[in-house]
Amino acid sequence: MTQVQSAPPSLPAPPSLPAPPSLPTRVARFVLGGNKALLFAVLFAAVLSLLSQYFFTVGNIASLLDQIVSLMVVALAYTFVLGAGELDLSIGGMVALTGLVMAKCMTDFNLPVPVAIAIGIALGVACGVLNATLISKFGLPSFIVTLATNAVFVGLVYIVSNLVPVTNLPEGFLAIQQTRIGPFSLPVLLLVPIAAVLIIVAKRTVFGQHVVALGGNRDAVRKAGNSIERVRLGVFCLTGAACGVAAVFLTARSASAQIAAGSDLLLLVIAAVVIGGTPLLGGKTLVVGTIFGCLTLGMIANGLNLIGMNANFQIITQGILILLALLVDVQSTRLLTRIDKNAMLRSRGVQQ
Amino acid sequence: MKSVADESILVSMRGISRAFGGIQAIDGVDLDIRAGEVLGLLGHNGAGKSTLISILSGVTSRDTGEILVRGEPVSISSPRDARQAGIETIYQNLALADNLDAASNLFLGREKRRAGIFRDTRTMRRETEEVLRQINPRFQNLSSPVGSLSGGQRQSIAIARAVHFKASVLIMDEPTAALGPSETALFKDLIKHLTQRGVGVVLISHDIHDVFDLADRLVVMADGRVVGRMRTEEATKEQVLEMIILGGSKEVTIDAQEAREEAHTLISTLMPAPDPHGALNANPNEPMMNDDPAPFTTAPTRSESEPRSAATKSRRPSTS
Repeated sequence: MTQVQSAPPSLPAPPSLPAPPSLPTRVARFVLGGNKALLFAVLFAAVLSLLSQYFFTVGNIASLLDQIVSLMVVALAYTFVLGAGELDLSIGGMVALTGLVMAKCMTDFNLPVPVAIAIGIALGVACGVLNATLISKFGLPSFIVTLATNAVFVGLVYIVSNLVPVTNLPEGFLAIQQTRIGPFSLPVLLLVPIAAVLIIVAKRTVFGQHVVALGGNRDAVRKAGNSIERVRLGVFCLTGAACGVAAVFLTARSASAQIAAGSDLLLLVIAAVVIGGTPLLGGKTLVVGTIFGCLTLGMIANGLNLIGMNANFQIITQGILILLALLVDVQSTRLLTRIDKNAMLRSRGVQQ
Repeated sequence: MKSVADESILVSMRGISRAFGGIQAIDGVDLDIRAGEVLGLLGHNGAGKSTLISILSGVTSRDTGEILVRGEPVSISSPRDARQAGIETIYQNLALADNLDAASNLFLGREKRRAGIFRDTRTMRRETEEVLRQINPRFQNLSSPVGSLSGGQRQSIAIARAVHFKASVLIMDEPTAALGPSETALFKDLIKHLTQRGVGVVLISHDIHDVFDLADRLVVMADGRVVGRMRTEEATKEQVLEMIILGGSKEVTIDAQEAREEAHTLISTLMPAPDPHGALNANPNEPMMNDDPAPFTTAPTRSESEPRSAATKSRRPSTS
């Protein structure tokens, strides 16, 4: 501040007007500020295609997408939760619970497949309503509330399932995974409209705007006369619904409703969203980034398989690679801020 | 009781009270805001100015009292209600979402929509440009997030919000606190411009010089009550400072004469020269910001009371 004031007070030029940023600054800004998840995805793809000749085969790409389809559905919705500055730790429980209830509806109650799916997704939305209501009503932090509700959901799964996975699902339900158009399964193809809708929601709608505003300054949203509670309800319901959809895909893929379904989802989802460029503390919703974040994670898992790494080491390596990707992301953001600040000081004619 | 005849009154607050726990933050305050007039609201920190104003802007609820807008009683229980009644507030922290651009902030909560759910970005951007051009001709970072803008530019957005939505009453909490000298000058022009259009402005400030420059009427608060109302041209800074400092605290009135003398010496040290530029950033507000009036008021009495307390001390053992 003192430096700025030392500039002659007659200088009327607003700060960022003079001297366009130098070329290296612009290149650095493009690389650091752009879609880093895309960068990671391209990087991993290049490395993997060098390491294994099978990587760039249609079959492998299709199976890679099959592996990340549930992750992608939840992560796309989760982008809004993180963007609004909230956390939802109950996605694992919601996926397991909705999957189980869906399967029970079909096996024990002989309900038609579409009805069972609708019940599952509606249950996910209900879980989201519960989360949002508890957070808003009692003014508790979202991570505490959802940590607790996750325990409740998992407990319900244990009680309802009696610790036995539900199998013998109807053919009509299993067809969801088995239907293929070209090399791609129906869930993978369904990802396209889901992602498209959510990209539009984030970029073009008033709701998407309010989510980002909430992540930026809660107080501003409140004083602007907006309901924080309504926006929160929106993001948690969206995530609940996404967990229901993910449960459909997951259950159809494994042909059974597993008790532990979705238990490894939380870390992967948060990692995918953050690698995609949405900050952990909110203020941005980069849905496209999330897509590439999921692809990056998928490629890590897929690549480790292709090079034949021991399954136990795979988990460790996966964790380390996720950590590295996050680290690069955070550090580059910091670097970008510093470059911007220096550029601003220079343009004000102040020696650094 | 209420004079309906006075049509220039935009908003009047009648008998407003509000307690926090056991503390009466606002105690039966009446306030009229007139069209085309700047009302300066003065007082210590903790005098109740901010609470009074946050009641009017719908952020804080009131215990008793009523708010009339153009003579009609209105219920203001949320910021949205206040906005619908034409009352816009520019908060000290400006309440902007730093990660969004100017247009998004200006229309936050009142977005122009297409098909009910989509943002009409183009219209909002164009209208933002129009209104900002009137307010701050130097403003040009329309697409950058407002967190990267200067204090004056950020404030321009908050004011633009009030102008664009045609607020009839504009409340400003410490508006010049985050501004540089040239921005302050621009701001003062803007206030004059707004009052010419018939907007009623409430100005809350610690900086008595700014208030004297801008306000037509002054209201001084202390301990949750109004302790002085006057027209600016009839008031002197010394008089107002005295009210702020001595205010409503009862024990002071016992030694009123001494305390007043003390206050006068204090005032004369605070306002050495009538230098308009230096005065803007000088320190007269610093002692006023001090929550505790003790340094001013107890100083003269202490020398008196010391022997007395010594006497009580010496008496105590003998009584026990």
